[in-house]
Amino acid sequence: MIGVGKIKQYSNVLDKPLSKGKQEVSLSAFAFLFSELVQYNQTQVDNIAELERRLEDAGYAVGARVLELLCHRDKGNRRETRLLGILSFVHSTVWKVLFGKVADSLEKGTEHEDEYMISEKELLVNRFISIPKDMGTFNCGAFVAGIVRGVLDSAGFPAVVTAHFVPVEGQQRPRTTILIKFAEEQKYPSIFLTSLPCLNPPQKLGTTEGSKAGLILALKLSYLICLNVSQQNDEAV
Amino acid sequence: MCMSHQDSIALKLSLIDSEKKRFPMAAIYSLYIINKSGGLIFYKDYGSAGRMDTNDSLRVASLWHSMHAISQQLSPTTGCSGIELLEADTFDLHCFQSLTGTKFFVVCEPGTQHMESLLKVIYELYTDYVLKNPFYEMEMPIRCELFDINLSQAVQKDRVAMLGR
Repeated sequence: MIGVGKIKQYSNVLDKPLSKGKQEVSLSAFAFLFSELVQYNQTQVDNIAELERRLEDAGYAVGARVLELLCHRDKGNRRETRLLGILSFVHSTVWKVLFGKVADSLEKGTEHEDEYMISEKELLVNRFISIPKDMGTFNCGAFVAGIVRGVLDSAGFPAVVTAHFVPVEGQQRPRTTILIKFAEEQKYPSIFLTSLPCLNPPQKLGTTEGSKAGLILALKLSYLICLNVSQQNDEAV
Repeated sequence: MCMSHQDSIALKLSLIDSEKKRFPMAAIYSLYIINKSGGLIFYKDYGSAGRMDTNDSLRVASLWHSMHAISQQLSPTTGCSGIELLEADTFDLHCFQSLTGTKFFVVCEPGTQHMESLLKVIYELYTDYVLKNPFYEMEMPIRCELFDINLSQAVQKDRVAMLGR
C-alpha cells in the first residue's frame, strides 16, 4: 500500500537517506495513467509516427532521471563507461527497478555490428493494450524505447532505439523487441561526458561515509567550471 | 483386423453421441455486453444452439435493457437491482449489472451452475483489457484482441471445470 506508515521528518532534505525504492505501486493505477498518456498524445498528433515520437520523448525524460538515480543508489556514484556494461545495466538493473523483473533477453544483432536487442515476452506497458488493426505496426513500447534511449544518451552512448512486435512461433501474442542501434563511432563515450563530475565524482571525495558531501562538492566544482568557461567566452566576445 | 471406412465413421459417431450424454457440452449458448443506454457492444455465441444474426442480437440486447429497467420499477421490494436470472423451458439467462450500468448476460442451458462467478470473471476481464486499453472508446463496440483471447480462455476453463464437477 502506498503512503502507509509514518514518515520521519527531516529538517534538512540532504539528511534524508535516499529510499531503497522497493515500494510497489498499483499496476492498475499505472495502466490507467499510461492509457491516459497515450490517449492525450493521440489528440495532439495527426499520424502514427508522430504519436510514437511523442511517447518516446516522454520515456526519454524518465530514462535520463532513472540513470541518475540508479547510479547513485546502486552503483555508489559510478556510471558504466563500457558499451556492454551499460547494456547489461539497462537489461538488469533498470528493468528490475521499473518492471520488477530482469528483461527476458539481451542479444546482439546478427546483421549489423552495432545493433543490440532487448526482448520481452510481455512488456508491462503492453499488458492491457490491444492495438487496433488500422494502426498497423504501432507499438506502445515506444515509451520503453524512449526510456532506454534516455539512459544510453545520458550515459554517453547516443543511439536510435525503436520498439517492434515480433511474432513468435506457437504463441498467440507477438513479443516486443527493443532494437538499439548505436550511432557510428560510439563504442566509447566521449571524453567530455566521462569527466562530468556530477555523474562520476572523483573517488577521493566519494568515500562511503561522505559520499553525499562528495557529490555536493563535485556539483559545486562543476558549477565553478561552467562559470569560468562562460566568463572566458564573454571575454573572447 | 479390418474395418470398412463407413463402419469406423459409424463407430465414431456413436462414441460422440455417448460422450454427449455423459458430458453435456456447450453449456453457454451466448454472451452479451450492453452499455448503459442499451446498445450492444459485444456479442459472442458458443456452439450451434441459439445462434442468431446481428440484427436479432441487437434487438435482444435492447429488449433486455428495457425489460431490466421495467423490472426494477415493478418489483415489490424496495431497492431492487433488476432481473438477475430468467428461467425458461429451453434456456436460462443470467444477468450481471455493474455499478456504472453496463450489463453482462449469458444465455445458457437450463440448470447450468456457477454462472454468477463466470459473469464476475468476464466483468474483471472487461475492466482489465477493455477499459485500460487507450484505443477503446467508451460505450462503443468492443474490438480488443486481448479481451477476446482471455475471454475464450475463461470460457474454456469454465467448461473444463464443469466437466470435472
